[in-house]
Amino acid sequence: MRERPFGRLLVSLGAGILFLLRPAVGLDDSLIIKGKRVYTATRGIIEDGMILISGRKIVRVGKAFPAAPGVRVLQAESVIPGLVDMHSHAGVFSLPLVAETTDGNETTNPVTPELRALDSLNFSDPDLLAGLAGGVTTIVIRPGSANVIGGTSVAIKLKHAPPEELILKEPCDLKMTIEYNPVEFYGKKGRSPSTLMTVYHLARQAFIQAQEYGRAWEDYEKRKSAGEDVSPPRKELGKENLLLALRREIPVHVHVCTASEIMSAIRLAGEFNLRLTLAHVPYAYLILEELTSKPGIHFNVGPTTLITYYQDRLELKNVAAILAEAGLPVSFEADTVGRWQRNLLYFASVCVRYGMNPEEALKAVTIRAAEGVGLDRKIGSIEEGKDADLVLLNGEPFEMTTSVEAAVVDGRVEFQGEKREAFSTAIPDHPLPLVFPPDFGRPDGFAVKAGTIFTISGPPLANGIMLVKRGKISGIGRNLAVPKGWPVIDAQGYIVMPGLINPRSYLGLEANARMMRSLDEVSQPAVPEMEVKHAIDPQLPDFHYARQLGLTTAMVTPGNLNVIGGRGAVLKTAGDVIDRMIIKDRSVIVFGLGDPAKRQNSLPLTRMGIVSLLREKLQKALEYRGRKERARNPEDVAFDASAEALLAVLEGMTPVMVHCDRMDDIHTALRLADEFKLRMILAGGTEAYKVADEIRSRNIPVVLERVFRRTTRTDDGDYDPRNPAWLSRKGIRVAFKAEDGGIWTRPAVAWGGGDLLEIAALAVQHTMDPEDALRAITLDAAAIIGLDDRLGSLEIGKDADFLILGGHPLRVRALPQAVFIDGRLVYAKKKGEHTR
Amino acid sequence: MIGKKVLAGILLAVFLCLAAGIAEKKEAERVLALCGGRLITVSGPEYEAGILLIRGGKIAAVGKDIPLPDGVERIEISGCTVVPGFIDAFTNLGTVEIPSASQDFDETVSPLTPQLRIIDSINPANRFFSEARRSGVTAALCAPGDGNLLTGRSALIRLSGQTVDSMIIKFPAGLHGTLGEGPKMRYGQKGIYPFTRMAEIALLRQTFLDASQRADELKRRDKKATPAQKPKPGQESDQLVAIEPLPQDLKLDALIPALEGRVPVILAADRLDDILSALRLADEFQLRVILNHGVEAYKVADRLTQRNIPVLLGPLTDTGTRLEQLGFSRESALRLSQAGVLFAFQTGSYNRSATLRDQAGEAMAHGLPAADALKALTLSPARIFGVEDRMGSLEAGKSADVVVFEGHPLGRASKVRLVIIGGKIVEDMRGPGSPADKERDE
Repeated sequence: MRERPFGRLLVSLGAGILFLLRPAVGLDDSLIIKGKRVYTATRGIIEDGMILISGRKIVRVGKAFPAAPGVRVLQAESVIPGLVDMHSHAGVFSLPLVAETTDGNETTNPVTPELRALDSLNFSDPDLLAGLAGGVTTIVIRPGSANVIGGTSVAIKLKHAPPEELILKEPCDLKMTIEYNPVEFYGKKGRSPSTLMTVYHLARQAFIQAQEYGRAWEDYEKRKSAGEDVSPPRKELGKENLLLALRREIPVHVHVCTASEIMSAIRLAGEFNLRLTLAHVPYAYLILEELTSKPGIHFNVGPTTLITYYQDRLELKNVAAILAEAGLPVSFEADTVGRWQRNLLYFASVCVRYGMNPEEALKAVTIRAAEGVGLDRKIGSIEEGKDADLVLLNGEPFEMTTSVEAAVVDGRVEFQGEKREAFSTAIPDHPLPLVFPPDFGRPDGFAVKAGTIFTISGPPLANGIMLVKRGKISGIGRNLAVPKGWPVIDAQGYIVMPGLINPRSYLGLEANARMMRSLDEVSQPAVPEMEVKHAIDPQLPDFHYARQLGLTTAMVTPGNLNVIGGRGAVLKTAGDVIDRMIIKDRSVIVFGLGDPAKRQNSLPLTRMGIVSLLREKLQKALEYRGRKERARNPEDVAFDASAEALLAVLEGMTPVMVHCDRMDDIHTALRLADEFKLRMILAGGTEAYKVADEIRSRNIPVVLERVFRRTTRTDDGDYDPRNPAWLSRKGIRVAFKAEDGGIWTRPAVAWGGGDLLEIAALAVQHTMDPEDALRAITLDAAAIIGLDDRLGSLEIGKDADFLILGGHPLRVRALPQAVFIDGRLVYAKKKGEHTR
Repeated sequence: MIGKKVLAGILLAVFLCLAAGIAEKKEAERVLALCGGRLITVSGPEYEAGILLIRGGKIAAVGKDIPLPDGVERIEISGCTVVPGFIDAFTNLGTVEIPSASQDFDETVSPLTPQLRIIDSINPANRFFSEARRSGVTAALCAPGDGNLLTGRSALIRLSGQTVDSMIIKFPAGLHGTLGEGPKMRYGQKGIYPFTRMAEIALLRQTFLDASQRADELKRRDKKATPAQKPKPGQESDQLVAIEPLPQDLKLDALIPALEGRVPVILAADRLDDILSALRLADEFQLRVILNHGVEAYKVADRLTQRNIPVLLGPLTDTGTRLEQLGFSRESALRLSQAGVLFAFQTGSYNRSATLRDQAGEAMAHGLPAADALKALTLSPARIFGVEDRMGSLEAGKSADVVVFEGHPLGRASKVRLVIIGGKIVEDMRGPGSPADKERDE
């Protein structure tokens, strides 16, 4: 921003007068915040720190100091600056995300610099302030990336105040895209741009025209001041905004993805002398040397924080960590609409989990983001004179079990969370790669000496030994003798726990070599006869990522777009041949209730249509059985694959997994379970907590989906992150679906939500009992898929599927250092795998 | 032959005009007295068993014990109540009867149609005029339909007359626009700018900017042509000749009176942020903004009062099917009234003016006092449209637009007995045996 000295002077004079007029700092607008640890972001950590707030500002920061009595005091384990997300779409794509409320992408014209996100901002969006619950206090709201030039962005404070008072800065910058998004929106409809080169050309052309426009105005002003009687050029809003960028008053914020797009943005900024902040930058780490030689560029990373490129051979790279390590300014973005805004801190945690320096991670969600939009003099750190935007936490900032107790914005408590017990453990973190015995290979039998063994079926076993023989656990205990000649893995200081079980997975069905998917046979609404095993591709990298995340077993099922989607199978995640990986075939049939299963112009268009179809199919199957029973020769009855598949369900051999989120859909599922006496597993279950008693009384387990993820569909209803805690406290068996990610989020780490350990930690943050959470991702998941006799816990005779972790499973840095399936090592983390 | 016919025609026309003129004159001299009824003046006191004297189309006197001049036509209305005629603050009246046959209120081909004038679409023979009158509505703001970003210009009309010109009270009454879902769903869905709210605002701002530059340029050229700028004797006068007129631009020309503050800009906005956008627009271009519909206006009532922005509220009997109307509150009239916002009720359609009274009833059912509700049907809309010196209350000197009710004027079951517009009885529903009936029978 160009300095406006007089403006600033007037403002400070005004403020001064107001200050004088105000009665001596009243107790009512003062607030003291004490933290066992105060993370200032710019000046290190203050142990037993104290912050005095007066009005909207921080007036004093330090070690405990004397303060006037009677001032309200808030206390917390940790205090951090209010989080800043410089890349959000909250309010411009407002809930319920239908055309009427989609105001972020002006998809009628690829070059729209005249637009202001402010004019699309729905201040009544029910989730506009959702970030507060996650400690986010400032967000920069932008147009989407459909356009090459999208418009200007606006910064708002998240607080309960009249809309005008939320606005902090407008314009912050000019949003642009040099990536394939415009091609997606225009090119695919036969319009320009349909290539990346046109994307660049349109951007360049716009700036050249703006330069000409600027010259025309300069010329006019010159002639006018010389006394000439001339007509002014046409005033154009779009070009005025481009001029702001050309004059370096605001930066351009460019959405980029690949390294070559990053270079294009830099080329453009170079030609027109623009200030540059780059958004997303997943592949920036590939050209680190080039980037470090170009100072002044800001890197706004996210929401994809871990990434691989073709050359990386399945190694996940922690982009933010790598850039920050190289000394480049890095901030994080949640890039969200709706409630997900609250997960900004979680993104930082993921980066810390994969090796980022926590100090840099904290800066990335505070001061660096403020710098990115020129607000660093006002917000982004705990310093005297800055806005009193603070977040109180009940534990360490980047632990996923830590929850936000309160958020203070402009000196007022804008969010007050429930008081929660912080999770703590005596087990120290040990995030180091495991050293294997030399020539470990594939021994017939071996032993693991662990710091602690979480058997799940029993209490944790400190300094335990586990024996593995031919893929099974042959011994577990404290003082076991290791058979002679067996190699011993020295994992003292590490944790051993059972392999994680994903009870509902799409592993191997999506994004195959032809970028095709085999999830839903949507040509018909009910296809019980279909089987996933004929479509799974075990060579997909997704299997590698699943193993790396500690997922050793998955029940792969069809998706939710059909009323009856077909049959699933349980498989181990290691192997080359699907027939050998499957350990339980035809393990489940998937039913879909609710909106996803509806059709546009054939039955079912409605929920009642869905249920009529389901009942019809089930009754037809019963009829078919009757015909077969009555027939003199059952083979005379024509084979009906659909009815055969459903008979397995009706006879109780195969459970049904019913996907439903809304309360009324869950009730519908229960009605069906009662009518047809079905063995049922609920999947989805967003509003299950509202129906907990009914679910419990029927002994139906729930596989929760997208628990801490994007929640923007209308089907999501009353989402509450405490859903798993409430259900498990009711005695309902709960497990979690590990997400498989989308095109942008493959591999399904971080944004993709594929990490069950993370999900368990987040569930604990939201009051789930730690033991219940760990059981949910192991033994309870095994029980739900009907395999708790051989999976889910570390007991003699069970499959030797286990993980060796660098700390307590719920700790943020406790990644699987080694993963075993059937006693075979399937993944071992390398030193610096993610940060180099 | 033809000449004779033409001549006969001309003669007939002249005769008719004269006859009409005489009738008009007779009407102008007609003195009516409504006697014995309760008079609710809205602007002043109420009179039980009062007298309302009408002369020459205007209210001559209101009160008790008013001496009646000779030749007065005395209409006994004891037991009835007299109120100022209702004004429907936003309608598309007179432009549609059977939508599938013909509609003349919505030009759905371009988001910017400020050049349109509603008076070119009004058909005085439209049956909904009499339907409205028979429910006590005597005037209405008649405007193009919502949906374009700028829809055109409206007229305040009285609901009686053979020609549009004779109906017009004020034109242009306002320059109309729509924010929010209307334009983006209409055009954006077809791939035409605007698809987003931000584009709606950008397009509006650019258009007002263009109009403002055009106004400046017109002034500049005008100044150039004034005598002061004219060349002195002896000087070449080439300069004058060189002034080319600006090419015509009906669209931008329609905006200039609004930019100069002579015509209000009436913006349909429901969602809070759309209302805030309207306020920002008002600030940027110094526009006199009137909010139309204003579902969430109650949320910013204090700011509307501060900035003197009135609201054409409603329709309250239609909770809305559009997403942007989710913030609908049945108490919105009460809240606006409590905050001191000037507001009027409207029915917002081509055919539902007859339900105008229900709007007030709905607001009263949710707390709005009857006196405030009545005001929002009469004096407030007159104020909003700048005609409170001519109508909106029972005061001497104002147009004699009055309605006689049997029962409370806002009661759902009350009956309209007489409707007088400009001193003329336009609806007489006093039943068989009433003077009007007799007249008709004769």
